[in-house]
Amino acid sequence: MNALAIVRGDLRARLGTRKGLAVCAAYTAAVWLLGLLGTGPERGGESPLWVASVGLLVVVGYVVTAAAGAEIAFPGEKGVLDLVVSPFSAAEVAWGKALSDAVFAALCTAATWPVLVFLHALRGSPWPESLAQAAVLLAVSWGFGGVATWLSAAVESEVSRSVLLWGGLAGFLAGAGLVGPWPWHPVHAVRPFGPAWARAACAASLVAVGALGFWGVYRQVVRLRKEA
Amino acid sequence: MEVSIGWDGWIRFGEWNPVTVQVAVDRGVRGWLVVEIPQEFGAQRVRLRFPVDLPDGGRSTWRVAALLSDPRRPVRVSLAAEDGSELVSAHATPLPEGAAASVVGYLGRDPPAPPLEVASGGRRAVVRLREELLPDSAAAYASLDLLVVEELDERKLNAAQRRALQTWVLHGGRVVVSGWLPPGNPVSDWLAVARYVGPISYVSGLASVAPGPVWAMEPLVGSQAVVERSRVVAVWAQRGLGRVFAWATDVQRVPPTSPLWYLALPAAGAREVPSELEVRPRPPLGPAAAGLGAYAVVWLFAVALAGRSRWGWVAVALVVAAAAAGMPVVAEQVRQRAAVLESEWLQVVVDGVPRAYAWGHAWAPYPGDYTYTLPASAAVALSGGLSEADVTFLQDRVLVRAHHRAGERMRLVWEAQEAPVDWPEVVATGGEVHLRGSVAPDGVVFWGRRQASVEKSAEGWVASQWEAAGGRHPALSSLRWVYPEPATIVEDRPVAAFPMGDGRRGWVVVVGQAR
Repeated sequence: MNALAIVRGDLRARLGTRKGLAVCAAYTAAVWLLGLLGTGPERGGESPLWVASVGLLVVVGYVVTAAAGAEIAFPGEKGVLDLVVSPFSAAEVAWGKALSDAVFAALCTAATWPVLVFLHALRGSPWPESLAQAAVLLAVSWGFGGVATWLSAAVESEVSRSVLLWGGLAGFLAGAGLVGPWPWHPVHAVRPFGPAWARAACAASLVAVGALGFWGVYRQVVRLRKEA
Repeated sequence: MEVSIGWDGWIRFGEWNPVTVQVAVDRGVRGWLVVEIPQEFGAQRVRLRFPVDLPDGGRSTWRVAALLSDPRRPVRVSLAAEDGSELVSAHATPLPEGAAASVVGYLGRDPPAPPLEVASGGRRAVVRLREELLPDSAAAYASLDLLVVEELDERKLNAAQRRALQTWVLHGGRVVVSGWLPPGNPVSDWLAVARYVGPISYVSGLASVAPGPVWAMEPLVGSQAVVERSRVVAVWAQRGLGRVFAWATDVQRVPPTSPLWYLALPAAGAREVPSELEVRPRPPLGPAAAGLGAYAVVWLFAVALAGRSRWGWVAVALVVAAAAAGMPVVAEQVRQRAAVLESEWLQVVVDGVPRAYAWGHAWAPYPGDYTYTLPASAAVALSGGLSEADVTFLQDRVLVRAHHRAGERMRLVWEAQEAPVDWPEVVATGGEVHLRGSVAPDGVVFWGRRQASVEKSAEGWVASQWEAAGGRHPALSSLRWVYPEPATIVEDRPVAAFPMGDGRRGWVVVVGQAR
């Protein structure tokens, strides 16, 4: 139940403050723009739908990761380091952060789902395809959020933390073009009509990465409390 | 259900051909008659759908104009109930030997003997026709070169069939009448160009007619006699752009080498095909931005509510679910707004009888089904980028629903049932051409090798400032899409051309009367 208190506190800060709403408004505007980008006509076999899908992955991934890693500081939100000195147990802190990250990722992903439904309906493709894409978005953003939360606790220097986080994620996403056509890579898996096994592998591996991140948060809270 | 395609099985591929379907039912049927035309080696299916409402024991005949292009695959016809369930179906398969370069139809007991070789290559088919199965739209006559009439029972023709026959002749069709048609019937009287004035005499030594009996005839007013060795062997008269001939003997006695056939059969000539129209996609950003924007605003309000109240989360869930359910509707609006059908019209008016032709190109920005609305039409054909299409003929419009892949371009050709634009009366008096009625100010009149702009005068509109016709006027160019030799029309009669207006691109061409 204490974990839920952390979830409530995080969501209140992210949705109930002016800054939180401003972030949500900016996020919604980005999703709206990507939706418009996806309405472009198809030429030469290249569909703007996949550009919009990858764009949505980047936007959802960015907002969820930035919120989880305290890169966007919401007024009143307690970071992992704040919670080290709280009465919550290390497990409650890790579960609380994992759940708040999951709810926020689900909220952001849910915002994109009707846009994906629209873009698929525009092309006469079935709506369950948009649901599969949304599942990839949810898993990837939660996984990135787990890594970001761990980094926020593990790396003291803000500059080093930002460089590590965004450099790593940018390298991971942009590296899709360098490493070749790995279908389970998020950039490929989120594209429309990707193979189901690749999407499942992508979602499972990013969920595992996220779980590792939150396990790292638990270990970090324990270590910091011992050192204190 | 009985189905016949073409003229008793003879087909001119690439032209409008009649498809005749006779249906008799025991129980009343309300639904659709579906004529499925195969195209592109079976890769495309175009279904022409006509509303059906037959009572118990009802019987009806449909005469459909269809552009046939696949000589190997059958035309499938079915009768479907309103719910789409098929009640009965039939096939009509083109015969390999049924492809003709020219078709001569006859109403009578014995076939005529025109030359069976066509000058441009291919063979000519001679086909016996029945009055009750004649087309009821002028478009379906496009594949018929000549109609030979020895007997005509007008009681078997309905008003639409009479109108179609006359419209076809006025717009260039050719009819040979041989023998006596009983007067007092509208079509027979309209086809009368000669009067029989004397006894039948036995004649030999003529090139145009084999030895045998020849009737004595003389031309009626406006007709011209064809004379060989002081004998009138035929009379002909212009009916609009078409010609009606009366031969002074049985058609069976006009040999294939007779000059009468060369007078009666239309000269071989190819019509030009309109070039592909530039179709620019219409950016569907307006409705897309509105639909997505409305969703974004509502979602943001729900999220703000969720930050304050637990019920806000219910609102978020409801907003997302409702938006996901409604987005296909928004998408359909955007698709239809993005689909562009560019068309070019040509309305030709001859002796007050109009025909309106249109050529269109559609471009599909996304894959899927698109609906295009055409005016009520007698004949519609689709080609180019489509895999299947339904063409539904309703009383006031035609709905074309076609499935495209992204970026495919579809070509449509149709002939409207009614003239979309009013036209003036065009009369030549002396060296001037006067126009009365609805006149567009930027019209031009062609006559001989001259042309003149239409100007306002005290008596109305007139074309009198003649100058040499230079270059190819776009109105005459578009006339070539319907007539192989428009110059021959302009040579004899004044032809007034006006931009179509009324939001349509194209020309209204009125073939006038020379006095």
